Amino acid sequence: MNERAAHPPALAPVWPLTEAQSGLWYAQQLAPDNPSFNTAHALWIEGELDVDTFRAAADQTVREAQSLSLALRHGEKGPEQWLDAARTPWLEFVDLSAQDDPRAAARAAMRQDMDTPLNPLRDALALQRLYRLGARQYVWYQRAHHLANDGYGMALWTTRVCELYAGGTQHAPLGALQAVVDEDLAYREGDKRAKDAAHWREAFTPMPEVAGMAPGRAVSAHTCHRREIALDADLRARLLAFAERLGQTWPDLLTALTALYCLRMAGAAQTVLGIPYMGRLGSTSARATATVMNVLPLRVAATPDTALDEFIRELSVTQLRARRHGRYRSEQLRRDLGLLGGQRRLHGALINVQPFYRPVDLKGVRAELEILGTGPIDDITIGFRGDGTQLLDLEIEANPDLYSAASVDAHLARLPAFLEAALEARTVGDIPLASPVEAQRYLFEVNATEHPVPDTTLTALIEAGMARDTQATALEFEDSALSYAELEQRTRALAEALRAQGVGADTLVAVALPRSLELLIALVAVLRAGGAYLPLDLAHPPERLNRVVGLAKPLLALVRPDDAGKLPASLPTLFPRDWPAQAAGRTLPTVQPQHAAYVIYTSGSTGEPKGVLIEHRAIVNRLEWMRQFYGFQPDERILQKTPATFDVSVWEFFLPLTTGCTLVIAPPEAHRDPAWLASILREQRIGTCHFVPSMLSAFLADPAARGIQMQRIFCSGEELPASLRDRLHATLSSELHNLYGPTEAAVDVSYWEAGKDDHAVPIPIGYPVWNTWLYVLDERMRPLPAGVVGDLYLGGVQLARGYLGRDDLTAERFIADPHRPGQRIYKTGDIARWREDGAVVFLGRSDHQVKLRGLRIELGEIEAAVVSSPAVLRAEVLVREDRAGDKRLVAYVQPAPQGDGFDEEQLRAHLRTHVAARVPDYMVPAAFVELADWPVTANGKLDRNALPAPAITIDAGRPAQTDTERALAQIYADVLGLPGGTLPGAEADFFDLGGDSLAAVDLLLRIQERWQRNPGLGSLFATPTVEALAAAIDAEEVRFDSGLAPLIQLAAGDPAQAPLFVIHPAGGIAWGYRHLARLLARPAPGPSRSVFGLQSPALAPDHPLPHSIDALAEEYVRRVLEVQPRGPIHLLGWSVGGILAQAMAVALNAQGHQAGLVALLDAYPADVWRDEPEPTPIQALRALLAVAGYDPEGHPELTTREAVIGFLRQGDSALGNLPEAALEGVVRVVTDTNRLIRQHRHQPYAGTLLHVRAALDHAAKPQLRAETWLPYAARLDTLEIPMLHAHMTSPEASALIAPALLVRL
Amino acid sequence: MSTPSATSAPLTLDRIRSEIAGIIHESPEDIGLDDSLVDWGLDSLRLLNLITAWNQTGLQLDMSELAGQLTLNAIWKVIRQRQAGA
Repeated sequence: MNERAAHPPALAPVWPLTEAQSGLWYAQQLAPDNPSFNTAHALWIEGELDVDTFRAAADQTVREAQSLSLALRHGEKGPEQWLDAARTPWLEFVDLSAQDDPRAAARAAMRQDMDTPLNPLRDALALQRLYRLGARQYVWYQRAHHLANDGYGMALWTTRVCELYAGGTQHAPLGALQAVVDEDLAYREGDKRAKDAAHWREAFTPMPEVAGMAPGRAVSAHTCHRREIALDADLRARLLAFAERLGQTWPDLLTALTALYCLRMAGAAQTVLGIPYMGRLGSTSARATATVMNVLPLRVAATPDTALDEFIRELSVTQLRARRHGRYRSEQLRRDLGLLGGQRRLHGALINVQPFYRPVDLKGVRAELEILGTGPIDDITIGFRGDGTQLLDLEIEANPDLYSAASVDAHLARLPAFLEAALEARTVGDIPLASPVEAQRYLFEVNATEHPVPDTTLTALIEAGMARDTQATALEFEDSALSYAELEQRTRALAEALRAQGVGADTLVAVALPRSLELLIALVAVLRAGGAYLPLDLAHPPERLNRVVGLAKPLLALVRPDDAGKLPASLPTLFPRDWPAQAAGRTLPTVQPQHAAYVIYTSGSTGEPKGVLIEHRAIVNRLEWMRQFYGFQPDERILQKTPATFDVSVWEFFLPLTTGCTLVIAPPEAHRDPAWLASILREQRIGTCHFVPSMLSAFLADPAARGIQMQRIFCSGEELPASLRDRLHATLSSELHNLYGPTEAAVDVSYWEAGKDDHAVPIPIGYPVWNTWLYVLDERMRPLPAGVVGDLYLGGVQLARGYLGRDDLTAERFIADPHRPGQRIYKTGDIARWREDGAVVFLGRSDHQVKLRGLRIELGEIEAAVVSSPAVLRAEVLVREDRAGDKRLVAYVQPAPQGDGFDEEQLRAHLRTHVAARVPDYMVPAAFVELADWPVTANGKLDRNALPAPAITIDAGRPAQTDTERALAQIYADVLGLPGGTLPGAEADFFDLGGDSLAAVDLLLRIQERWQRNPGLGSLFATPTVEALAAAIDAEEVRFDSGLAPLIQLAAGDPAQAPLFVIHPAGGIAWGYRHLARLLARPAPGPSRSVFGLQSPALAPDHPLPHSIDALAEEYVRRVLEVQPRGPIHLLGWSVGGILAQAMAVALNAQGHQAGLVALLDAYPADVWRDEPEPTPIQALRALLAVAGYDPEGHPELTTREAVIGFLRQGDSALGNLPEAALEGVVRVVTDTNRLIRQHRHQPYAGTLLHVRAALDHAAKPQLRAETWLPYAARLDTLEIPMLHAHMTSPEASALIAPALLVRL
Repeated sequence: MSTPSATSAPLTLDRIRSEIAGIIHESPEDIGLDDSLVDWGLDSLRLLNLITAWNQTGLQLDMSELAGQLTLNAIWKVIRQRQAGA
């Protein structure tokens, strides 16, 4: 931004920017390469256009439309503007008719101009071109930077040209810009502004959460999606009649219904939307081009029972009240509400109804207006243009980072259907969200899964499989194997024995065997005997085994003698040694498809196990789908490693047998041992196996997994994270398939291929399998459109018969299908959403549905943000409520093995900033817990209940040991209000425990009380753990407050990067830079930097200041070189610190060292002060207020030394809490430094100074501007941020400054 | 919306005051003659609807004549001039 400033002609009036312009100015300054500030229209013309007349009209219009000729520069009090005739956008004529495709050529030319970011300091802001496309074809292109015009002004520009072209003399010329500037100034200086500010602050405190329709952070992209359709006449007429009936205007009605649509689509009970406010009515700007438009936040809340007419009326009144304060800028409101710099936004979608829009009427020709750009789009803008009766276009502009083109099209189709449905609705909840087309699609089209499957039984399929090749190997286990012929014999023999015991259709046989050949023989035999098997896991607690046996009442158990004691004594048993080896040849029963095949018990939410009964028909569908869909062949080898009590085992057992494959049975404990598994996979030449994602993650982390080649890996049982898919493909070679299904529906009901080329995030659970349907329904059982979260239901042939012996539960969960008469559906209790391609995304359990502050949170989105850091291998995020009512998001992370050299504390800090840059702030976990191993259940799933409470960070490291550590741990606990009895461990981090800078001061005071010494804030920031701080307290040298040491480390970053040295302002203390330091040490992208603070040596008693600034600078340079002996030396100083930074840069150069970045935060050379009257001691003292973060102008009552010190003592600033001697030191430094500054003569520095100006300040001192440094620097790089001088090191200012520094470091 | 009663009786200051008050949900006496009606939340479409109703008394008011300065006094002044001229 090193500009050669343009200058206004001597007599031209020079204006400050209006408030509306200022907001855009700063936004563009922060994103100088973003071209979306360009607003433009294209008017496509067909007919006999009189080009000369058109040119005259176009040129006359831009003569009148003064804002289009604006020039800007950095002025004394901030950016300034004037009218520059040289920039008037006279009509350019471009003949493209000779081009092959003139239309396309014109489009490309316009596109190119639109995509070129303007530099408002250098470039003309507006441009207009008439492209000739052919004999009777033209397109007129008008473009203006948003600083020069808004949407209303663009329409004025177009209309005025049409008026003049038609020869109209009855219309007045456009208005002058002076009036707009005057009106802005009058408002800024009037009382109304303060009243408006109070209204908004009150209305938005506390600030409601803003729920958006699309996940992600809303930051304006460089382009936007833009689509429009016309609403049909019938809908228009009915909407107008509806408005009439309600006694509302139709724009208010449309706004209300669209707001409701946004609220429903966001799945929230409340949100805030933005309503553009033109600000032209009753204003001199009514006929002036300019940027005047404002955006008013509109809070919207409704429950399903809210009466629709009531909702519309209330929103209309809210809008009326909002308009009364409509001139108060939303940028200012953001500042008032503290929404700057952070993640939180003021509003989500914009709703813009423009009832005065008329089609463009250009005399004698056909003209069609196309809007090319209206300015930056953060989220989505839903607009309606037209008069309602003749025309009403729905127009959507959306940020492509948040919305796909398809989702924009879907909104464009869905919203009119929503409006249509609203006409018939009584309550807010009556309106279905899906359009009729979407309802059809998401109920039926995506579920068109009919596929012929033989009406047979699992038994019959297995028998056919056994008969295929009797000599082929059916089973392998450790060193033994069974051929299909042997398997046939053994199972037939046992089946006969079971028949003899009375086993038949729908009788249960418990199978309580470890993985072995006997296990498979038992299962197949039970099926061949016509019974259903009930798997029991002998590792389960005896109470559970007793309970399950008591509920299921199996006829007998197949169990080893050693294990029989684990089962109830009343249950008859048949030991493997007693199984007959040879069949007697008795006829086995014919099993029917509706007979039970197996019963698997799952844990109910109440803790009472529920037995799911699956019939043959259901599991046949599942197995036949899998066999055919994935093309399994008889020569394949499939690993069986899932416990029989987990239904995944069902396909592992039987898919090989129905296909004729070899089933390789893993040794009983192998499924939990990654290295063992890897050797089995390799040595046994396994082609297909299953992993629960938790186990897969552990498996891939084992070096033995590298390079394994397999045909297929199936995952189910848990969410499959996208990062795990990517790790798999980077580690080994195999297809990867993600399956989903509850036990209640024959293993799996949906599938997704997560292959090498799959980049879906999150990974969907996919599409329904054969003869199966998936529904995502709202609470009224209506289908939901893609992207909206609802309850997941399943239907089809694979559904279980129900819960064994629990007809009540069965009736509750297996309900009549409202959309397919005569069918049943199962309510999974999971929440999910459709993707536009018809795949389902699983979002978790509805009973664990995560809502914080009323907003639904997608944990997967947070997990994706965490694992996007290369430092993380795996992450799980959940909500914990370790203390009643205290819900917290906790992220569990497993660091990547190669690591980034982070220690635990650095990793947490890194992740916090990393995640905060990717998700809204309410989704940033409160705690990050590092894990090396993941607790898993017997089935290999992540055992969420076994994850440690984040208190782990409290007792981080060993317990406190020394007296000092123990006492300090107690002080941490007291200051932070840790739960009773909890003592932080030696490595617990004060800030991670929830400490903020306020608590830090409290902590230091208590340390002072206890030990009569104070390690200082500096030490606390650098080493915030109990251990390190205790060491500092114990260290002999800590006599005086080392927080006041001449050099303190404010934040620790990457030691390989040159640190930044920040130089104290007037008070001599550098702690104020702590916010900036933390941001630089933990930036989202890029390398982190250590930050050191230079503090005045005169803070210590009896240590006078050197005799000059140059001497002081040389002393500082010595200190800096001790830390960083070689350049580049990066320097930054605020206020007086800036003067010192420049002097240090000069001194460094003189000594042959290289200064790097030299940044001055709102600092001005000594010359500026020299001519001013010498400040009195009390004036100097008042400067301390600024150092402490107060605006001195806000406290005129503090006129004595005692008053200033007393005020500081009462306040919460760190300065006010300093020990007495230290505050004395500060006071002394303020006065002495001031004297030195006045005597200082700057030397020129042969490098670049970066100057960051506090643009909201200096109204009374216009001489304070960056250019004052020009005599003392070879080059000047300038930046302005919307802050007061006193706030230049505040968190908000730091958030703006840090990114600018990072790109320059 | 609450359309002002269409009547062809000549407009009075009281009538325009009460109709404007109705539209912004306020009592007529609360609206000062020189108050900015924009600051009371009046919007263009509601103003247009009022003008349309007032024009049924035989006036030919145009939105642009009233939109520049929006106070009761300013509106009344334009209407009175028009009534006198008609």
